[in-house]
Amino acid sequence: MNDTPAISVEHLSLRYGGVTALDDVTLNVERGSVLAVVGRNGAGKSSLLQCMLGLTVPQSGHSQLLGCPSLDLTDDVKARLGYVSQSPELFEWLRVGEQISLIGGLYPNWSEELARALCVRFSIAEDMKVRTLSLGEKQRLAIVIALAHQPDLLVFDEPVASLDPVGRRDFLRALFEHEARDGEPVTVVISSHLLEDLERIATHVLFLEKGRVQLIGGRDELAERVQLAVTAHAIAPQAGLLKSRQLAADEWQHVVDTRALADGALPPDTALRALSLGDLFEALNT
Amino acid sequence: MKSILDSWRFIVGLLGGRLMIAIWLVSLIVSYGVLGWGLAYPMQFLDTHRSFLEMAAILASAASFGGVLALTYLWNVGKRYSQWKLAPSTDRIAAQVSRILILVSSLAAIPAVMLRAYSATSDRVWRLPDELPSGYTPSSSKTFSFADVPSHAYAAEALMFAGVVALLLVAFRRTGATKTIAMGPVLFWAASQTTYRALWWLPFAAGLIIVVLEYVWRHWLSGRVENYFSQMDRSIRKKQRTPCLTSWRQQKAARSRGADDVDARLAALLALPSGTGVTALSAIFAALYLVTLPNNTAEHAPGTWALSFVAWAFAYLVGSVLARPVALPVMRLALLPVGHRRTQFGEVFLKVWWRDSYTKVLWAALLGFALRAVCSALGWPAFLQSPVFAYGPTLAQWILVPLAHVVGLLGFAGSVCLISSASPRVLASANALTVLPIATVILLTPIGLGCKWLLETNVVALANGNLGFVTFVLVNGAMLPAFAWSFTRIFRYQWRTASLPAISSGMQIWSDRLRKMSADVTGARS
Repeated sequence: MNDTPAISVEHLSLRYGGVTALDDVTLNVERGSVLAVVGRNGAGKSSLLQCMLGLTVPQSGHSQLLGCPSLDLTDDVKARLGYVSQSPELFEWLRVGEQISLIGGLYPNWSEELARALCVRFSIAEDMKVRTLSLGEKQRLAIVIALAHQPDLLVFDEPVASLDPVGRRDFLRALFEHEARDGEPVTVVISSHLLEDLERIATHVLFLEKGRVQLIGGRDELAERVQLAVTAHAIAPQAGLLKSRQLAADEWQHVVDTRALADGALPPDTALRALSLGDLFEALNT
Repeated sequence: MKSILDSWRFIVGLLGGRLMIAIWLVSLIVSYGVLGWGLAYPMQFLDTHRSFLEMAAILASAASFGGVLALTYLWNVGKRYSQWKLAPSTDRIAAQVSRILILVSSLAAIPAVMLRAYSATSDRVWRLPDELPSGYTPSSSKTFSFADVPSHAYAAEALMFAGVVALLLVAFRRTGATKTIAMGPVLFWAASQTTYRALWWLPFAAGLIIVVLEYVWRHWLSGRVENYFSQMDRSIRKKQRTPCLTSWRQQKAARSRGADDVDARLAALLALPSGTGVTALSAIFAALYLVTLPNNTAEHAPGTWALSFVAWAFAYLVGSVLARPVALPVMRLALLPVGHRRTQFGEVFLKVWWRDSYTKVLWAALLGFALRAVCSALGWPAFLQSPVFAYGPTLAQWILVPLAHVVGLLGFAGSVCLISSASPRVLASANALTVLPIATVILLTPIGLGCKWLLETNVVALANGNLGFVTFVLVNGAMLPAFAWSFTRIFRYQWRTASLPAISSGMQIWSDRLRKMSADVTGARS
């Protein structure tokens, strides 16, 4: 098996005028992992995914997909890549079947049976004009097209934002069942605000805040490592203290990285509480 | 076979549909046919069949420029549709389609250049005998063939053609607006013959305006928010930002007290949410109109009624840009406990639209007066400084004529707002709202021109045209608004039973349509 990471991002920075979308982001996504990218609106999630894919050119830094520079993807790498953007980008003048067939014809690994099966699962009528589909239906169609060539690298930018609960369930099932044609481990990068969904599928989590990496790691590792502490006094800023917030006059809440926090930084009798992904997100962002 | 068919459908759709392809191919065939006919049969100067050659020149030019536009659209698809960009082999396919488009455009350019050079040269020979090709004497019985067109005329036409192509490529390389909006400049350029070389700069100026507008739109108006942020981020940022004009109006609404202020409060709460960019563009457009007004006191070039009609119609066109009713969030307001009654809403709509319109007119006046002074001092544009128009720096030139037009534009804009707010039934229908802006102009134009005719035929002092600006003020500043006000009164009873949810729904659908159209114009993705 190839040891190079599925995605490698180094010192990526992106600015739009006076707004910093990404600030020196560096990360590797190992093959076979499912990376959940979370952050508040404007944190830089979409910008990061677009830079990863070479759709947006960063001011500095570079990224690689499956060992290939993102800004110069080869057809081989493109054939192994599936992408669903936040707002589905489809050719509105075609019918669903034509759209599937047109895009499918470009991929060497395209599976016509899988495409049809996914259309049935996602309740998409092939004879409808794309422009007549609702936003959710377009999103489902984009998912079908992203999955039907059985890629081993999937990038989803808020794929379920427009889907109803049934659509979300179908999406997650399709993702669980997804296998790459060539037997390669499937790597998934997914950004979403639906943390309970991410909790079910993610092996790794990346928290972004104002374009910077706030926290990254394996989900189990983070659950074990990053915990919530409540103290009666403030704690001085230091390594391992990720966030502090005053709840009341004599009540402070801290998100701490227990491995990085110095011994004695917390009062001796402080109780530490493990956090779910949702709780951690809330604690880091409020 | 099926994939070939799908690719064909994709390309056909990409280029504007089967009808567009058919028009394109027919244009190509017809222009070659007419070129062959013109080559085989030289025609006399006054031969009416020459108009076939001129029409074919337009068709061929449009086909060639259309191909260039299709090329820019293809580039845009490559840049904008991530699904296409990230699929394998798309670069190769795009290159193949590009080659076909370049080939077809080049094929269409040959008859276009030849026919345009023929038409332009024969026109010049006939109209400007001093510039005849050596030894050629114009006579209506003589014929003029393609062999009589000097080679430099072909070269000049080819150069002009290449310049327009370059402009199209520059102007539309990013907008993605090729299928609908860009056809306007294409047809304009295709139809612009270059009989008088003095106007060689016209297509380039038009191209420059497109490039500048696109730049202004991208970088200053919709700018970064439109281009760079995702849908959700964009909406969040938009929510966080309140335009200063709206903010001022909201503060004004908050300060108002008492029952007398209910209308003002409603209108302030309904303040148009983001009119700054549109206001600026409209004001600039109207200011340019004020700059190019003739310097004499008549409203038109001397004498002819036809030109007088054109000048007024153009003024109405400018007025219609300044007074554009837009959708308002009716239900949001209808549910607020601010002491309003259903019958007040007609007045509220009028207030909101009128305020928007007069803001634009006043900004345009401010800018227009300053620009007009600068342009007059610089002697530009040259044709307005010619003896026909320029009567010297008089009170009329500097003040009265532009002032008359400002008052006239205000009156016309007010009339449009009055008519637009007349009937709640019209405002409840998205289809009616779609045609409302043009329908009001169509209604008001003949009435305005009719009033003008009445005044000029019955008031001796206004008959000679030198007091055209007075007629303009009387008609558009007083008579037209009076008519519009009376028209509004006729329908005002309908507001007693107006369905506010229906108006809200109609306006929402209308607004969505406009947004979609705007996205098409700017190339923004919805």
